[in-house]
Amino acid sequence: MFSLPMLPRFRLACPYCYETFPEWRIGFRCSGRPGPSGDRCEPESDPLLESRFGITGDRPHTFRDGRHRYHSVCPVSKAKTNTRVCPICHSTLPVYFGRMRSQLIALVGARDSGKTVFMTVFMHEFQYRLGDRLGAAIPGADDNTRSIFSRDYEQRLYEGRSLPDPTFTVEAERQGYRPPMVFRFMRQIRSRLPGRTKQTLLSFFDTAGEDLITTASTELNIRYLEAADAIILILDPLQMKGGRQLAASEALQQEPRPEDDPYSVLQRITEMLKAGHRDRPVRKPLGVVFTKLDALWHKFPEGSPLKRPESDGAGCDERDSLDVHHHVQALLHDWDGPQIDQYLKYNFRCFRYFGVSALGAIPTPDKRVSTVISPYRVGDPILWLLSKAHMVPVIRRR
Amino acid sequence: MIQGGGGNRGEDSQRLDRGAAAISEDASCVGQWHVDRLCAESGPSVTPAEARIALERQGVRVAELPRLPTQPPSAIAQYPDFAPLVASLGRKLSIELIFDTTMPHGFRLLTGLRLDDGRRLDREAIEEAQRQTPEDADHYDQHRVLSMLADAAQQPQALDDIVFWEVVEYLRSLARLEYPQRAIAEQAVRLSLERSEAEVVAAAVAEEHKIRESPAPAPISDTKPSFPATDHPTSPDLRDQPRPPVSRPVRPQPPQPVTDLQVRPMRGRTDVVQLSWNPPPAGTVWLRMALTPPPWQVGSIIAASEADSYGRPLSADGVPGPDRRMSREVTVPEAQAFVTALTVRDSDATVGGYVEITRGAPVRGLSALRFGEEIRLTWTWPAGAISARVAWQPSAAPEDQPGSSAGRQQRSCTRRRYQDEGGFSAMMGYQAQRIAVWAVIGGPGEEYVTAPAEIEVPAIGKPVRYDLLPVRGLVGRARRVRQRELCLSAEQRCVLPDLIVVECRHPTVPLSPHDKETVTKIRGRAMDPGTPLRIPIPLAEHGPSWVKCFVDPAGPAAARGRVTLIDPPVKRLWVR
Repeated sequence: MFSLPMLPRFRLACPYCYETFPEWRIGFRCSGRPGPSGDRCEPESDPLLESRFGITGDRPHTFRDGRHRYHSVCPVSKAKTNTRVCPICHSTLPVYFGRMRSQLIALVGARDSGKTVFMTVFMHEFQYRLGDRLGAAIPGADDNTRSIFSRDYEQRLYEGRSLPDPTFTVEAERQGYRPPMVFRFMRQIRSRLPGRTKQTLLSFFDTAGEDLITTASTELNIRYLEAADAIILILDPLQMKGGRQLAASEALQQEPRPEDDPYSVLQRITEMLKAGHRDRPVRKPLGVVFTKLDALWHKFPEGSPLKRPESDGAGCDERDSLDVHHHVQALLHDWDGPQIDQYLKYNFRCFRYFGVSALGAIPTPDKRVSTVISPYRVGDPILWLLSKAHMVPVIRRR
Repeated sequence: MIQGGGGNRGEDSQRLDRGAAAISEDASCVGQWHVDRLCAESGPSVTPAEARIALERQGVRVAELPRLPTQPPSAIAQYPDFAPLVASLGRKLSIELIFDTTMPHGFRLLTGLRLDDGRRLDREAIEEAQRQTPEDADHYDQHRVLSMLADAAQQPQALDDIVFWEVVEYLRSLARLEYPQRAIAEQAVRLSLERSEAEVVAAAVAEEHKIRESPAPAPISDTKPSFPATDHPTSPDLRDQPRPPVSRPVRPQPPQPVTDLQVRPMRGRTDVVQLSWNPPPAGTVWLRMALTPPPWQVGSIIAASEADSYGRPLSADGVPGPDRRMSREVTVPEAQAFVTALTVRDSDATVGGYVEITRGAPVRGLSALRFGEEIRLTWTWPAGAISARVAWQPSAAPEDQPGSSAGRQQRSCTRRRYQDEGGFSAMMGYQAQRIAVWAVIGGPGEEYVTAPAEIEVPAIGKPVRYDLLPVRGLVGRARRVRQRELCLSAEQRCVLPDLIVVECRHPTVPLSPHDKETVTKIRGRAMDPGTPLRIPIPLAEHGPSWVKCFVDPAGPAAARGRVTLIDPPVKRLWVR
């Protein structure tokens, strides 16, 4: 997993459109400032940004410079610029893009399974608890993420105590663009050389559950899933017959929809991942996360791995993670029979089950959180994926 | 029926006038029961029509009194916390929450609820009130009451019944405190009930109370009254009320103490708290505030003069609330203080309970979630709180040593940290814990703590770890015998219940034992820490299989919860 930062990379994936391209195709956007001769580029509309994401408005033009990697000079105004853009979608790339690894993580799952809440709570947890535990930081990698995550996700959930609205479908994105959230993960590592860090860009693309219902709408997500380095599949045990029978009654506020059946969702995602490839197990690590454990806690016996205190180690606790994996696997057989487990075994080379509660309590019928958000094990899935990418250590205990 | 002569009739007439005058001192409106009683007391020659005329001559209206409800309306009967919530919000009637005021323009009840200003109490009005109420933790109770009313509004007449019930319950509590009927009527008017209706409802309440409390009227002569007093009850609900005997032996008994004195915060106010208590059947309640708890035990009987030496008096003229409790607002003192209730009758005072009053409302909604040894607490902060102090102590601390600090631990938690870290968590162990949380309010230099909120978290079984180890020794290894040794170890001295070890070939780790899978049963026994128990487990000849230990579900239920079995790493449960 070591890379030589000075060599150009042949396959980079844009954290916004998830298209891949070699590093030398990265473009630049003119800064719009006057050059040495006083010439200035006039802003103009960007049809690529508009057609892909529906982002309108004038901005300075883009250009390609195969000789420079991090900064360039506008061929028109001669002004210096260090704003790099994706050659495919013209999104402004994070400052560190290409200089460090990128982990594109796709969050998929049915409607109302809790994808957005999971991502929001994970980020918040990382900032306030996990980061300290791991010796890591995870700031937003671009202005968009910094402002949108704080305003639309974190404040709404933590201060407004209100669950997010259903995520835009990809179609709807064209009117109300909701870009992937891009964060920069940095962790201090032990080394003789001071200041050595491991860094990666984490891009979370939060798919709308509706996008996974029909084959037509899923086509739009195939690109994201193909480019993703890892996948987090969020499943709602309350959509399963066995899970509903055991759940606290106040958690059963709506009837399960046949199209959101977890097994169907898993099949659709697998087909998207395998489309156009040979029929062999998918190699991307898959975290299968069962959310809303708070509705089922009362049924877990004392001593269950899902009623243990969370691990406080500075990494991914392998023993604890395996205990949870096997326990959730057994619960899954109870809730929904062996079909999901068997399907995963045949179609994924590397997958692991997780059980989390992002809110720590059952929300009210009007989708509000009546008390403080008190998550449980919400960091486990992403820590496992990061350990697979060698970004966090694996803790092995006897 | 014996008819009196002319001389008797004159005396009867005088008695009638005196009786009517006496009634008029207390009441402005009465029902048929008073008329009948007046007839009976005045003499056999007095007819109800004459009694009615005599009462009206004294300015007392004789009206048909409404039937009073004896049970809460079905729409709120399912919410036992309805009345306490309304009381905690500082309201006497729940509709005040809908119109966000104390009904300035009055209302009528007896022919259905009507507001004099033309507004309507219906589902739209409730929904509008819900929209106007801020959606934050401080208004949670208000939202809850409004939701209950919104639910009730789906049934016809339910809101009318709720308001009538609240008015009647409020007036009943006044009657129990021996308020005169006119005072009860005045209190009804203060609720904004239209005056003539207030008098009628007050009359019904007072009459109900008198029927319950007073003995049957004694005959004034050796002649019996023309009809018994119970022939014309006011309300069918009261028809079956047992009548007290005419004369009761009076046995002097000490006044009963107030044991349920409570303090609760007032919504949106930090300078005032509300004290509430159930009035004792007899005696007067005194409240005394002091800087220290009272020196007497609850239930002690002391001389009333002795109570004067303790703190300063608070007037105890509380107002009854819809939850039938007396309540009184108290300005919170600058320093911590204690208020004690004393029940005084004649020269004796019985010491009741006391409450601690400190500035600021305590935390609300304290709840706990246990993850093994770790307990996670969540609560709702009072306004202005900057941090909290959390103290916990094993519940098994000796009860005969109040204030014993054995095993007590305390930590602080800032509000910022609480919000960001999702509550307060601490390793508190497996035993039951008594946990108290105080909010700290104020800025630097002038911090003060609120009264504590407390919760008891039950224990879970003492942890017993087990492991499945390969059999030691050369023989086992050489023969490649598929055998394991169950090694049980306890961290604390405990009594192990009956255990079973199961072996199965399920695709997943077994979560519970099933028939025909048990390979070994282990009888319960005492275990000491540091002395592990080693038991060989014979397994099937061929593997692999899951091997797992469970508490025997066939064992006694009480024994099953004594320990919590902690599994080894899951890969050791899979035996090849």
